[in-house]
Amino acid sequence: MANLPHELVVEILTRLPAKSLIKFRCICKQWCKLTYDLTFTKLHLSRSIERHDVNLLANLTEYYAKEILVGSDITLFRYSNSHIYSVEGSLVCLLNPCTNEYKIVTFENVSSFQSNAVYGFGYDHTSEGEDYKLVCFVNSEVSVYSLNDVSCAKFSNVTYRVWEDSGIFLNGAVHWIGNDREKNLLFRVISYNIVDKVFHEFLGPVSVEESGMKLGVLGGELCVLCCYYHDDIINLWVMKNYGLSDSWMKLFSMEKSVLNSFPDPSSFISHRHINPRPLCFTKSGEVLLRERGKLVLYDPERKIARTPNIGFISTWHEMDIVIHFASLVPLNSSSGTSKSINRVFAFNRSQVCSGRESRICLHFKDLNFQSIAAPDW
Amino acid sequence: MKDSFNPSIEPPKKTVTLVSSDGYDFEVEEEVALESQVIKDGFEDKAVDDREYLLFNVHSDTLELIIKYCEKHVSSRKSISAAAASSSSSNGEEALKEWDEHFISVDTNTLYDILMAADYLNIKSLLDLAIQKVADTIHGRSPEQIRKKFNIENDSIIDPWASE
Repeated sequence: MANLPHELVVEILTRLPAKSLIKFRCICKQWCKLTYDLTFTKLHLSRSIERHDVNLLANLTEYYAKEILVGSDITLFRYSNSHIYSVEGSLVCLLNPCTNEYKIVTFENVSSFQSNAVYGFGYDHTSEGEDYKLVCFVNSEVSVYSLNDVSCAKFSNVTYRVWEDSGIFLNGAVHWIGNDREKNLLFRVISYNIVDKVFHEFLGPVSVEESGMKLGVLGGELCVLCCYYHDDIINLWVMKNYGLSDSWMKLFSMEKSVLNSFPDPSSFISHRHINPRPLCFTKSGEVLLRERGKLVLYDPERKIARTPNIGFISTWHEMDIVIHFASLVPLNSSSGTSKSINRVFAFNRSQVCSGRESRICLHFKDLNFQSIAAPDW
Repeated sequence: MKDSFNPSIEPPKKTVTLVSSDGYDFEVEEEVALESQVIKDGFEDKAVDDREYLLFNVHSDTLELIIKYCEKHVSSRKSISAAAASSSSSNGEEALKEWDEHFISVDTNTLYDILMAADYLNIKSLLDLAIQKVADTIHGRSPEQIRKKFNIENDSIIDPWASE
């Protein structure tokens, strides 16, 4: 195999999980070099997304174990589909949990990012280098920050109001549940496409003026979990043809009581307040749901739920749990904008974070939820 | 799996000849040979009586396997579309997947030969199958095992990040 043509090596390695590729850097120079190469890493990431090769990222959120960057007091607690980030003061800080590489960008014309704004994060892989963009909703103004150019594009008089605490990134756009102040108050999916720089809205699967919809991505498709206060049934819908409001298809209905039959150490709430977030499918067709302090696997065929048994994690309630695509794409590849180099810092792993032990990334290939060994680090 | 077409009632098949690197002739049906994009690309321009292909990079042992794969895929495609046309239920695709999995479960050297031949002949589905098999073989092994199994020389300078 040693003399395989380069293209075939690339083909083989882009099908391996990022974690394995990091481990295999010591095999030979060629493999090592590839894992730092922009073209290779971008291809690897887009293949992972195509194959829905998701990881489950669990991050302890207890106060003392928060993800904190060494030498700073920046805590990271927002999630994009491949990175953890935070906004603080005029800083945007981005951490790749897979490589531990991070980047801090100072937006000098921003005095302070608002903590009550709704944020979304996306990765534009089509631009010349590659660009990470932060989308920020404050009242009727939307600002889109480019981390490469350290620039900001503003849209004023936006009539959309969005609710999701962090947007869902899919197909080049960030998506939130929201409505249009001027038209009507029906909830719908609002998206901002960071590549085309346009807003879109799609009608939701049902017409309601009540919040209780949670967005997610299941099997690469946008999904909405509808869970209303006065309803005992939860419905999960997926958008079969992306962007077409009439292509919502009901995947399943489940009783709220099914979820409530599990003890939740973090809260004692009435089932009226249940509002789970869909995370992902498992190999056997179950859907993984996150409901406050618990993680539940629901089998839509047999209409039963169970808690995943992941040996080394006894409780989920103080953990953020998100679905995540492991990316090897280097953060500091934007050397084209070196003018701002004194304001943009990119660091490599060893300098990184103290909260490392608090973060667990499980690759789905290793995850069958029956029995699972502790990760090898 | 039972094929749903009967070759005896069809007109005589046109054939082409594939010649392996070690000089063996393989006469195969045209549509089987056309699984290879390389053969397909130049096919129409070639005279009917000159449909012979010298495959300098493919040994007869490998070529035999490749032909077996292409024949299976051509016949399965027909039975799957026949089943779809008569709207009878068919698990043809799943059966084919199983067959593929069995087909590609070979030793490392054979896998390498299939991979190179599929690349050379540009048979996309087989290339994908072989690449995925190599990736699956690599996944979960230690770097030392991989070097040994795939005969890779350790030329790496000390990689500061490799110790993980």
